[in-house]
Amino acid sequence: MTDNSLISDIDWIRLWEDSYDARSGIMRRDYVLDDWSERAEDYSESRKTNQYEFGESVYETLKRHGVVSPHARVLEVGSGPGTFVIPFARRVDYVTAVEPAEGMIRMIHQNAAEAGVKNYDIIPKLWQDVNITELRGQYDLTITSTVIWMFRDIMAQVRRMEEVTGGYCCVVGGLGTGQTFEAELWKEIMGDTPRPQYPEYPLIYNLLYMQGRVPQVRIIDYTSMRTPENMLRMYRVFYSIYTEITPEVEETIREALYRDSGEGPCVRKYRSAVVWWDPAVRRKELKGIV
Amino acid sequence: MTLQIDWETAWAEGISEMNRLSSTGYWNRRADDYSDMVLASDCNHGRNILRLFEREGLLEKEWHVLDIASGPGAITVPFAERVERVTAVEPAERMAAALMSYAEGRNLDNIDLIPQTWQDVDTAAYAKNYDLVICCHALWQFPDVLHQVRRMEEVSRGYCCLAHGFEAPAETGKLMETLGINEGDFDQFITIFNLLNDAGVHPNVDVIDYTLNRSVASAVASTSKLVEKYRPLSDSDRIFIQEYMQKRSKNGIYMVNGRMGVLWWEVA
Repeated sequence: MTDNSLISDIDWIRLWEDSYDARSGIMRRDYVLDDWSERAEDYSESRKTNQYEFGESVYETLKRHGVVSPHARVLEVGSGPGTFVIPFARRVDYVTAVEPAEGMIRMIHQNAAEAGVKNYDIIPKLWQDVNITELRGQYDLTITSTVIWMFRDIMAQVRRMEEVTGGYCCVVGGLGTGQTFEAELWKEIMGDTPRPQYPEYPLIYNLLYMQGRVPQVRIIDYTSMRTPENMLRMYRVFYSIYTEITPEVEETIREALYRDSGEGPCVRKYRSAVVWWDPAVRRKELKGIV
Repeated sequence: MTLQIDWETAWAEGISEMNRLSSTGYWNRRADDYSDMVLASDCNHGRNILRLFEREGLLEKEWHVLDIASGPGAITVPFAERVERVTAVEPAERMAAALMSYAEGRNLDNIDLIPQTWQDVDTAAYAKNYDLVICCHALWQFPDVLHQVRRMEEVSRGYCCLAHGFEAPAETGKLMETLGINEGDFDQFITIFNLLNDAGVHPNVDVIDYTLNRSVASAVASTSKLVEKYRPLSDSDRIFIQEYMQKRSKNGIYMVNGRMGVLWWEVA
């Protein structure tokens, strides 16, 4: 008999919470909605790179696997500037964006108008505050990206996502890129303070699997392009969570960006995991060898 | 975090008992019943993997596929029907003979054989020689699995694919429990998934249903040999297994449904 105690004893929920708490431990303040409003412009530029390459790629992946169809009603949790609203609404019946930050909401409207997209609405709330009673089973797909790291009670929020869909759930999580820019900049500004982690994948896969779901995955690559000013805006918000933004800190960021990209746009290559599952399908416990 | 877990050690420890019990000799003894199952199932799990690559728009007629631990051809045969050539790595002579006989019966002349264990194959001789390298339900042979996966990447110019039981057929679990056989609950799928991700290989993941059919005689032989891996078979075991399979078969065919996890990625 094989000893599987090492793996079966892993408490993935605890690991998720520990990661969340470790990050909180080095924050001097929590994120507020104004931070995301401040980020609206740079986030929008990033998501719109190569005609919404990121959102398009996720849409194509889900379409190929029958997860989304022209008749689908889609709920996006934490839409930001319309990450999936614009690429999806063009091809599905309807998209509801859950987005609490005013700046981001303005950006969704602006981007939707620009793209000629009208079949959407916005619930201007934090996902955690949305009363799902009336939404239960109203959608065919609940989708989110770059948001779940904000949920300490991850499975409670995942279950709420599952409750509002009669079809599928999808989480798009970033993977490490091996790029050294972020780590070097952090060291320059923060010294030996451990760099905060935002580990969405493959941790979320393990969580879902251990909680009996049957998730499937596609890895996608995409590009993000932002002006130096937008990059500076992003880093200003990010570092303000962990330290005071002095003129010296701002100068350090400017210099690093200039060294990296000169005066032109900053181009970043990213990789994400598109994880989807049907909440109605549950895994049987593995006993015995196939 | 996953970073704190030594997945390579977890893997090596988890598969050690299965590895010890399942020698080439064991698989030679299993050749007949296993071949019966593959044929009666019309290579169902292999066909489902083929369909995956088709649906992704990746499968090309010109492909040369390497099937590691091919057995009687559940992967090799469906691919050989669609691509230019398949090379099967299979050290158990009787399994290899079953494969070649099966291929002949299907008029397939584009299959060749490397009659070795994968560990003994000289990868330098086949560097970047294959468009797809598959290892299905056989990674338990490799305690040093990451090293063997890297060797698979060395011979692939396209994709690598590892397939595993995602959950065992419920039937099988119940039967083993009744016979007092505890095969352990080591989860190969999630261990190899994490091991690969930790190593910077981020595979795509598909979960595929499959159906296995086999004659009652094949099902009885398979279960009997499985029990004999752990203890001698008693007369009452023989009667029980025979009756169990007979009772659950339809028109002489015993059928089980399972799910496999397929991990695959493009080699850089």
